[in-house]
Amino acid sequence: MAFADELLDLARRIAALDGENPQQASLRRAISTAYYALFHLVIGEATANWSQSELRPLLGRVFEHGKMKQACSRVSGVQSEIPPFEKRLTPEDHLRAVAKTFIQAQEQRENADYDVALQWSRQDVEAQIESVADAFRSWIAIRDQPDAQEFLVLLLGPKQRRRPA
Amino acid sequence: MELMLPPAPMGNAAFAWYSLKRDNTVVYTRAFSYPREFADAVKKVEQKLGDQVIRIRYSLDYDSTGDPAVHFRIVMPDSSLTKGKLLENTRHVSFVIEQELKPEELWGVNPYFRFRSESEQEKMQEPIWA
Repeated sequence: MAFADELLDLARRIAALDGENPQQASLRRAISTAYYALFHLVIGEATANWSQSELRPLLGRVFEHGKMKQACSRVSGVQSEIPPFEKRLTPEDHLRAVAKTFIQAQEQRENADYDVALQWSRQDVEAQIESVADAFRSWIAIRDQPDAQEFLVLLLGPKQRRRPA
Repeated sequence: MELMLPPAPMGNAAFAWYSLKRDNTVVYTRAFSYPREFADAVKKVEQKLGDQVIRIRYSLDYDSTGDPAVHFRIVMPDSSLTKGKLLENTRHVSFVIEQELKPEELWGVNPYFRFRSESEQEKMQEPIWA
């Protein structure tokens, strides 16, 4: 199982801890872990394109949370509706699902990790985790598409998007 | 580089809020300048959603990257948040809110969504969700 998949699986298991009375610490870790699952999924995909595999972890350290979020917010139509997975007909639909989920997951992760005043409920956390799982499915559906590959580069935060020839 | 600011708002706002985003673009944060109007607009969406939601609460503030934001807290019926329906129903509600309210386009705030079932809120009794 890839690292990102392990993190997503771990997020689900942490969220399910403690029976009927989940501890806030568990729910917060689950939110954070779900975000990092998606974070490492796209970084892993991006760095896999680097031919010298021993340098991929170092390349992965170049990615920054803020720039990745900015790149996601620039995906065309990211504000529009995300249809259910079965009804995503184009690579653009899938890419929007990934980008939008990344933006939401990153914000919730910040809240979960740093805002101790906030309380979390299990269903809130499960909704966030399932949203990330849904983004995983969308990514797998489009990972080799040109738009998806360009998205990986844009996550690095280049100042200007390349112009079509 | 010259910054092109939108015209100052008309109406009863004492002053207008402008925010400098991380990419150095300036946005007019209408939701901050007109909180009452924003509240009315949210109420209308809540009514449109009918029994799909119990209530919608929110905070106007800034997100983790410093951009103006609205953080929605949405209480939903228990029946809407069962395992099989969780993702579909929460996505639908957030979509309707974005579609009707247009938080970024009309109000200058990035929307974020959290959900809670009615029974969870009854148990947790958190005032900001009440």
